[in-house]
Amino acid sequence: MAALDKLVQAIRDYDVDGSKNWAIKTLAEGADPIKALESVSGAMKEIGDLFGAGELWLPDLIGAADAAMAGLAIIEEAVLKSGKQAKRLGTVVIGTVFGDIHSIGKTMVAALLTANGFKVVDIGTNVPHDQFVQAIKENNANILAMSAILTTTAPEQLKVIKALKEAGLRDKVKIMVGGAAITTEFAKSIGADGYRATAPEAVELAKIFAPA
Amino acid sequence: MSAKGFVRNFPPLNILTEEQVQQIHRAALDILETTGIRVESERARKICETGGCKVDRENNRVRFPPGLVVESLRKCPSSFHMSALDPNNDIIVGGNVTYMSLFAGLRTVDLNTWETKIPTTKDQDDACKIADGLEFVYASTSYTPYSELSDEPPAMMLPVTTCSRLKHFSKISRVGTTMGSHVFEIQMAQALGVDIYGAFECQPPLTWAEDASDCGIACAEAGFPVEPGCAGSMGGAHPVTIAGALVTAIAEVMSATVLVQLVRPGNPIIVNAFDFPQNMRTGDFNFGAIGGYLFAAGWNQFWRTTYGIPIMNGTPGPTNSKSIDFQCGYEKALGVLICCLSGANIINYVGGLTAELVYHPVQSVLDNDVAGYVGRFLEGIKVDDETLAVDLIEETGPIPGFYLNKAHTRKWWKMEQFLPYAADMLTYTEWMRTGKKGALELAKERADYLLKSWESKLPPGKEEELNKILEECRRWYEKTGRI
Repeated sequence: MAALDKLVQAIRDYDVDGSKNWAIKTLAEGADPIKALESVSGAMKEIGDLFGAGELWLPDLIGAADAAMAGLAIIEEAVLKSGKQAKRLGTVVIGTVFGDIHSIGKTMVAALLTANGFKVVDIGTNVPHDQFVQAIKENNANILAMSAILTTTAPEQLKVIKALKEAGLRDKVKIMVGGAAITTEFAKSIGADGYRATAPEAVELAKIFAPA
Repeated sequence: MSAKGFVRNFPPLNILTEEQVQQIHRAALDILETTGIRVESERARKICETGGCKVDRENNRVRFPPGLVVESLRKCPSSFHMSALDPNNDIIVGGNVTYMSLFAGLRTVDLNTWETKIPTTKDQDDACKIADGLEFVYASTSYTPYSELSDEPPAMMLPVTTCSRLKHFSKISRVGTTMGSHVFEIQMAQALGVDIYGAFECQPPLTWAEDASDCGIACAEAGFPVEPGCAGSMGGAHPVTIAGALVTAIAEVMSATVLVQLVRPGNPIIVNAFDFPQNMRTGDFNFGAIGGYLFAAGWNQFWRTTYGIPIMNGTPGPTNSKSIDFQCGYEKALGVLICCLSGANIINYVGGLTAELVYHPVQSVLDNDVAGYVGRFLEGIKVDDETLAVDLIEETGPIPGFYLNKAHTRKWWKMEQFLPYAADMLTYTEWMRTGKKGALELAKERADYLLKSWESKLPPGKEEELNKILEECRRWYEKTGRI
């Protein structure tokens, strides 16, 4: 079995170390890194479809995403060195707003977005609104994902959106919001472009937002 | 004179062996010593360091020596008194007594469509008035009943709802904990001369946010009891195994207790954990799941049999159901029974409906009835010469003898039976004749009655004092950009 097939199997087995090692071997065998990237995406799509069909669950999805990310880190470096252009669905800046240190939801979304072909810049938790703006500028992001678990910190999301407007960046990013304190009505009221309640749904929304 | 609460007259439910309890105990102490807690507040880190903990400022990690932890836990009183606005609602927390408390919801719900609605401050006040009349409710958590108000900015949610409870709910309240609101909430309690207890909500896994430790410190300095608590999803923020979740939750709450005891040795503590299995499809909590009640029973047994510290449960507050239906009924009722039998002292149960999304006063009336039903069970069977009734049995003899006309029956029946306020207890014919009302309809009528019959217990001038503190809070939030 070629190393690339074993890389795909490592993702199916949620094997982080295996994914890393088989990614290295795949490149050593001379495989085209772009094709390797596509195989990883294919594996994640398969996992995602099984989740959607009710045959796999969140631990499987996140386990596969972690394994995929480990392999992707190796392959993306090779893509960069080759001078080729990897097809990315978009660049996402993701973070939990100021005053809030909850991270699980955000981390799940970040992992799934990465595994599904997005470049993800995770700026962490308790992030002041100006740092969101800075990260979007520096990374030329086209999607912003913000999390807020607490009712009292949800308004920070509005501050970020206002800051983006002031910086002339609002039209350049699609904004999705989430977290226990967030609702569809709240998202609409602050001018966000979308809200989803679960991490897999957030990925589907990001795919809708992705530039053509 | 304090409220009697429900006195459990038989041994509590134990689901762990003594050895299992000690395994969990040792594991929690190991975690605190080797892994430690991430502590965001430098003030809290300094207190821990002075108290004997090892502080690693590079990653804000505090490690707790087992000796310090055990010594701190032993300083916690096994029971304590709390004064309410109405002295008849004072409580004595600890031992074999259980009090019911309000749960919380972001919003209210339309009882016809089951769609959520953002409540107003009037809805908040009305819900408090109804709760004030509930016979078996003696306390409330914070951000309760509602935590999203259409006519107040989110930052004001905590101080506004605390002020509302202090005005309209003459029972014990919790305060805290985001954005420093506890500073003003403590002042409100002090203005009324009532006790509150302060939230110190650890963020799982193994983390204290600055707001949380600030609230714990401030409440201890003010001499109020503190509730170190955590709320983990098993399989998300805590290990998926119930034993592992217990270890992590116990470690988190032990660490918070150490801080409080370093601030004020002997400060009253009530320990709380609110763990549920993680929903492995949505990532949310599986509210109402039996795993949450296994956790609660293990939690209660741990604290009861190791340090004897008073215990709180919040597990039966929420349900996964989106309406007041059979699922809501069994998830909450079975759960509160388990919590009571395993020895919780305060249970945040009443009024909660969908997840932490919904509170409804009609649900609070129904939960009050379940509380009374379970509470009657806790009281057990009284066995003495009078209740054995041997003389009466001999006197009454066989048929045609009967008991309905006896003085013994008149004296004892109301003590032996529990009479719910909002359950259908009619004969079928009467039920047909009076409109076929079920529990939901009866609870609506009861809620209306409690609202109309509410009377304020605030002494003159106190409402103005509370309003003044609330406005100071609002101005401070405006000044600091939170509003």
